Amino acid sequence: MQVKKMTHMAMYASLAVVLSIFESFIPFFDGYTIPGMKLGLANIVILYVLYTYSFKEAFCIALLKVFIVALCRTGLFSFSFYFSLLGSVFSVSAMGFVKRINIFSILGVSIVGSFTHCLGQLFIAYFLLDIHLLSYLPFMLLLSVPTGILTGYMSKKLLMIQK
Amino acid sequence: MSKLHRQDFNNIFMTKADKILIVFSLCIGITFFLLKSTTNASYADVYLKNERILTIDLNTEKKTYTVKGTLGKIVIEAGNGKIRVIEEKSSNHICSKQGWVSKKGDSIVCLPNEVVIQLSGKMELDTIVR
Repeated sequence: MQVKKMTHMAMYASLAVVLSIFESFIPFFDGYTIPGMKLGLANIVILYVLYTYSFKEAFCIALLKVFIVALCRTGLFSFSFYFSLLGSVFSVSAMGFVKRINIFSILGVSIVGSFTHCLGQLFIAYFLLDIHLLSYLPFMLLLSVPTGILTGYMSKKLLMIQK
Repeated sequence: MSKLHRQDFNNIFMTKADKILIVFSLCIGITFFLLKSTTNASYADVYLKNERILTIDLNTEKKTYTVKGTLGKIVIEAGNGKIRVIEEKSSNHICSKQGWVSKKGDSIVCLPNEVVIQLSGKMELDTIVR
């Protein structure tokens, strides 16, 4: 059982990494056309793990994803690394919390996750660069709804197949 | 395979709280989007690693300024109420692709160079370059 779980976790982590690199090749949603806007496909995997296993496993997958993607693309401990680190930690913690409250479905949890990911990045922008990007907050809230619904819907489909 | 908990399965379909969340966040987003400030900025502050290194008056003729960022020099063009980054050294060139910026509260962020340009309505009497 332990080995089985270990291999599953490794598979999910690599899936999250691949999806996160893959999504930067999608035109328009690559994070540069609209600065910071991404689909957040890796969130599908994290949500799936959160629902099939528990918060602890999802947190580990999210951290692993941040470290490996940073190694592949920008380098460890660069500015962008801290941005995605705090974004992911915020997002996965909020999703775990909201799931525990148990009033939202997976779609709501996903929207909250995608919004708090932006929120974490605004926080790190404030602490590292001392810039106030609060004016972007409503804009991010607006964008996080469709992307959150998309990833939430995909994880829901996955969970239903697995059942 | 791992099992789904009973409670998770009840909440896999859209709930009332979901709909409230979606409508609520869309409303807030759209309201702020419509109320967004449209006043023109008159000054731009350039920051390098949290420190203000330059304040540019935007109500002048077009001029270019050169700032040294972490990766190399950054060429900024400003004047006639707007500002843009012409040239910079980075992998994605996000800040030079952004183009002209003129509204108060807007900003140009060049993360690899640790340079931030923020537009403001009023000036702070400190380091004014005319």
